[in-house]
Parts: sequence; structure tokens; C-alpha cells
Amino acid sequence: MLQINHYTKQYSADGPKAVDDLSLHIKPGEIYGFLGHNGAGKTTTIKACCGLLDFTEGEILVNGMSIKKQPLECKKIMSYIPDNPDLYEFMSGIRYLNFVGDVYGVPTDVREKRIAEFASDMGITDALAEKVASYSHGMKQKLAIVAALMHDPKLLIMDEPFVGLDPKAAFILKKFMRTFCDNGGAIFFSTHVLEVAEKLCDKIAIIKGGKLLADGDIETVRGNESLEEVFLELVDDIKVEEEHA
Amino acid sequence: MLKILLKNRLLALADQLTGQSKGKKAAKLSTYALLIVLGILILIGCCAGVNALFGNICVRLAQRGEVWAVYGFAGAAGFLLALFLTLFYAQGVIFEAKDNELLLSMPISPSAILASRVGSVYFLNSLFTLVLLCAAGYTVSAQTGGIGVLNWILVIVCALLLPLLSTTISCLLAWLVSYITRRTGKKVLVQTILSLVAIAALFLVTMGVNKNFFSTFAESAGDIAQAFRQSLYPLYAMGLAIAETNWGMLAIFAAICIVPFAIVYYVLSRSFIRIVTARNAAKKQKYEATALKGSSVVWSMTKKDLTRFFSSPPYMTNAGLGLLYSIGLTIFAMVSGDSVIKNILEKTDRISDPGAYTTVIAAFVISFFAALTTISGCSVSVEGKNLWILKSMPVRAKDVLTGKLLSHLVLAIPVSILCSILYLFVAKILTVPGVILMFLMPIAFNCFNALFGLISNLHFGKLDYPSIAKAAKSTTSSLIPILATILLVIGSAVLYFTALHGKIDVTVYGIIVTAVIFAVDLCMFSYLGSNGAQKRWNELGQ
Repeated sequence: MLQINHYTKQYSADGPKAVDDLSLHIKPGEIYGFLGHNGAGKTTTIKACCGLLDFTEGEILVNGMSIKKQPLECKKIMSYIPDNPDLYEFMSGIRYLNFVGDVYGVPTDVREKRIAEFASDMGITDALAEKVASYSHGMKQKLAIVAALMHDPKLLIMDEPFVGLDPKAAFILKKFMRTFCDNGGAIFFSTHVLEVAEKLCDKIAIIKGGKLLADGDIETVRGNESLEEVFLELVDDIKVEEEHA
Repeated sequence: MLKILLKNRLLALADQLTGQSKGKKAAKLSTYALLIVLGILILIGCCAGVNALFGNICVRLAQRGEVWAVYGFAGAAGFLLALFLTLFYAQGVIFEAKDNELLLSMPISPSAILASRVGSVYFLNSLFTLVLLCAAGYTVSAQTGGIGVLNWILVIVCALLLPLLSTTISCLLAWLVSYITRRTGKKVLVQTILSLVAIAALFLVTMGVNKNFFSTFAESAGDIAQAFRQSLYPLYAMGLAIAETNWGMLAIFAAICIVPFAIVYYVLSRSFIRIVTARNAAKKQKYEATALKGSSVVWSMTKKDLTRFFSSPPYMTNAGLGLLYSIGLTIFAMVSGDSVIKNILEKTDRISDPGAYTTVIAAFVISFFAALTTISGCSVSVEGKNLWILKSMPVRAKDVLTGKLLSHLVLAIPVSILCSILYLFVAKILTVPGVILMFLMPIAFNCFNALFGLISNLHFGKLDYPSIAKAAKSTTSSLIPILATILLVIGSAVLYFTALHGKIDVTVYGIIVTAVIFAVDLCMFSYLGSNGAQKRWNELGQ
């Protein structure tokens, strides 16, 4: 569903590589976690996958289509949820969802049904008449999630989707992510919460300084250790046992 | 602590004046130096301007022994200007500052936070007052053979005292606006009404202060001085204090400025926490599902941009003021009959075919108004931090840009048509081609203005403005389409009257201009769907 081949991003010609020769393959039915410190290159990669950021080298394919050459076709089947959803604050929640429905060409009866279902799941139905400006960070995040699901995407790309969500919404989102992938969808998301990645992901990739340190099935990457231990060893060169000792 | 807070506020103010936005590198020392030089130039310009305008009046007043009225008038002008220009600044910086809660969570007393914010409002107010009072001092000095050092010192002292009064009123009005906004939840409505009232007031004052006003003032300076004495006592006291080094009057004036300021500051500092942490008292609206209406992508984009426009009072008043001016000035033209157009015709001395000239000139006048609407001129910049939404969607640049174009035109064209209809009543002698021209030429210029603004904003617009208001107030976004359209309208009219008159019929010329502008519009519109526009759109936010 999402193939990242030798992706390299340099913000300036003589500057350092923000991401260097990254290759990942996310298949339908997979929840793929993307782990790394702040500034490791996660958001840069995610934005490039969504067509928001150009890149220097490599290729990114969405369902076999190049995000560079066929951006509109790619965007029709995917959805992006940023870490800090700056939505249209001048619109009410329902107007924003209707706007998204218009752009993706979702039939009105279908969008009404989906809004009712997803907004109820996220617990924001009552607030849909209010301006987005009055929403809390968590509510904006929930609205962004509902909007992302409006057109029934095949690929979900999310940047820190659990930030700002209350426990119930986080639980519902995790459950939804699993169901979404069980039904053939694919999810590529970044997170700092290792417990979430460990419990939720089928595969993970760990990135540091723009370079891929490890990737693959979660069991393969962590071996007999916890994901936290593996992450700290790989990213920070910290041996957890030594630390404890 | 107050010193640090005040320094921060003044630096933020300087960054605003120098165009440095948040998160960007702070303005350099050379930029501040440039700002100071600019300030000095403004001061010199004001001195020369006030001297030129008030020189004669000053002489008459001096002959009657009422020089104080010059200071009084300058004080009144400075006071009004300061009040008008700092009211919304005061509201934003005192009551709606985003860092209020952050600062309150720190070990800083509320009175120190308030003092730093009121201090910056006072600083701005004192700049306006200082410039105008110094200009008055210069005028008196130039016209009466010089004034003493003590008078100059009193000018400075009064320029420091008078802003206390305007700051007090700014703070009270800002508090009132915040209070009403919180109680009603109608922030946009309240701010829009207030902006329009302020603009209308300024418009009326500037319309009132015309050529006739100055001649009347010069003739009956004594009566106006009397009016000052009775109705504007603080300014009378200030004028006397400066002109006659009257210490008693200075004490009275100082008391009038300081006491209300101290009371308002005390009351605000006591209730500062309550005011800035108060929740919106307006009832929350509960959503009840209704049938949704679908729209095409372009129309959906248009509605989105219109909603943004109507939800931001600064956007409306900065970019849409031309709409109001168009209607207002057209009504003015109707009320004053065809005297304006007749006046133009008489000056050109070519009334051989008044009907044709009237319609063409009216068409140019309405087209000129079109230049003042700059909705599309900042429509790309206002996307700012929301740009990711459009860029992550399967939507072409053409659709986004057409939506922005339409959001300008659906407002500008009906207003233009309305103006044309109103002008039909002014222009009594009409011909069919003339009437058609009166409608089509303004539409052509409106399209030009909208397209030119949109394309220039796409190519040269910044996206890092912290808010819609800041983007809408950007001089680049508004000036480019305004200047381009005005140059085109005036250039076309001047070209005819200076070079083509007598060689070509005025109506035919009007039709040619309209056709050319429509052709240019068509070229610009086709550019919106081109690879060039798509490429530029793709580059935004990279």
C-alpha cells in the first residue's frame, strides 16, 4: 500500500540530510509504527508520503502510484492526520466535515452516516455546531480523525495521533485502527509512546538522525527484550540492565 | 520584573512595526535605527505640514492672544488619532493576549503584567501626541518669532501627560469590548461594528476637516477657542499651560490626566485575573443533525474562503473596505447630484457630448473603487498554518485558486453593479453603449484586481503570518493589487484626455479599454489552470 524506496530529503543543497536513504514497505492489513526521537526525521518522512513535502531522492508509491507523479490519485485513497491539527477555526465542526466531504466527493447520505458514526465514537457530536476555534486540542484532534475517515481511505498516515486524546478516545482510536487494518487498510503512524507501538503495531521502524536503525515485525525487532529496551539501546546506546545496575 | 515585561512588550511592538513576525529572527539594530530615522522624518514632515495648514490660523490666534488654541487643537488631533489607532491594539494586548495565563502562572504580580501591557499602549499613544504637539510648538515658534525653552519643556511634559487620558479611554473601551464579547459570544459582530463605527467616525472627521473647515477656523478662531474653553476644558488647560507657562493650569491638566488613569489602572489591576480568565458566558450550541448539502469542489472552496472573510473583522475591514467605500461614495455622488462629474467635465472643458462623457467618467470612477477591494490579494497568505489541509487533499491548484477568485468576485461584482445602477440616476443623459459600458468596465477592472491580487499573492505572498488578521493587514498583499488597478484605471483615463481626445470617440475608447482589460483578465484566468500556477502552488510551504 505504501512503498518508500531510498527516500532522501535535504532541505538545502549543502545542508545535512534530514532523512537518508530510507526504505520501508507497508502492506495492506498492517499497522506500521514509526519510532524515533524528536528531530529524527519522522515528520519529514510522513509529510513526504502525503505529498506535502518534496524530496531529494528516491520514490514513494501509494498503491503503486507515485506521490510525485500522480499526487491527486494517491491523495484520493489516503488520509493524513498531523500531530498538531490546525483546522479551519472559523468554521463549525460540521461545516468542516461537510467541506471535506465536498472535496473528496463523498455522497451526502454517506457523509451524514459516517459523521454520525465516527463523531459519536469520538464523543464530539454535540460540539459539531460550535466553531473549531472553541475546541480544545483533543477535540481538534478528534475532529481531524473524523474528517480523515470521511472518504473511507485505504491508507492512513498519522503523526502522533494519540497526543491530546483522552483515554476513551485513545482506546476507540486503537480499536478502530485494528479494525481498519483487519478490513484491508494500512496505517503508517509515528509515535513516542512505546507501549502503544508495542501493543498495537504489526511492524515498526526505528529512525535516528534520518537513518533507519531497525525495521520489521515487532517480535523480530525486539527479540526477547521489551521494545523500550531495544529502542533505548538502538537510539541512545543505553543498556537498560547497566542503567539499572 | 516590570522592566523585563515592558521591554518584551516594546520589543514585540518594534518587531510588529518592522514587520518581523513571531518565531523569526528579531529585528536587527540597523532596522531599529531605520525606524528611528523614519520617526524623525515623520516628525519633520508633520511640523512642516501643520505649519503650512495652521500657519495663518496661528497668526490670527496670536493676534488675539489665543495661541493656546493651536496646542489645544493639536492635542485634540493627537488624542483622537491615538484613540482610534490603539483601541483594538489595547484590547488585544491587555485582555486577549495569549500569554496572559502563562504569565499569571509565574511569580509575577497581575499589576506588573497589566502595567507592562498598559505601558505599551501608553507608549504608542504618546508617540502620536508627541509628534502633533511638537508640530504645534514648531508652528507657533515659526509664526510668532520663536518660543521659550520653558514652553518646549511644557510641550514635552504635556505630550507625556495627555496620552494618559487617551490610554485610560482606550483601556476602558477595550474592557467594554471584551466584556460584551464574552457576554454575547459575538466577537466578530462586536468587533466589526466597532471597526465600522471607528472608520465611519474617522471618515466623517476627515471629511469635515476639509478646505472649508480651515477657512472657517481662520475666520472664527475666537468662537472655536471659546468652544474649546467650554467643552474641551482639559485641552484648554493644556494649551494655556504651554502657551502662557501657566503652572496652575498645568497642575489642573496633570490632575485631569493622572487621576482617571490611576483609578482605571487600580480597578483593572484588582480585577485583571478575573477579566482575563473569564470564560465565554455565551451558551454552547448543541449540534442537531440535519441533512447536509453537497457542493462542487470550487464552490466549496469559495464558501470556505467567504466564511473566513466574514469571520475576521480585520480581514473584512482591511480587504473589504473598498466595497463600503464604493457604495458610500456612490451614494455621496447621488446626493450631491452630478456636480462631481460636472466638475470634472468643466475642468476638462470638453462638454460637447456630456452624456457620453458622463457615462465613461462614471465607469472609470466605479472602476477606481474596485481597486480598493483586496480580498483575493491576501487569500493565499491567509491559508498560513491551514495550508496542510488543502495540500493533503486531492484538489488541483486551479480549483483552490478559482475558489479564492470567486470569493472576491461574488462580493465585488454585485457591489459594482449596484454602484453602476446608482450612477444611472446621476448620469441623466444616457446612451445604450454608455450604459453597457458603465456596467462592463467596472466588472472588467474588478476581475483584473481580483486576478492580479491573487496571482501576486500566490507568487510573492508570505505564509508565516501568525493570524488571518496579520496576513490581511500585510501591506504587500493589499498594496500590489491596489496600485496596479489604480495605475491602470487612472492611466487609461489620463491617456484619453491627454493624447486621444478628439481622435477617438470617448465611448469607443471606453469599449476598447474594457475589451483590453477583459483580454488581460482572460490571460490571467487561464494562468490559474496552468502548470506554472500548479508548480508554484506545489512549492508553497516547502
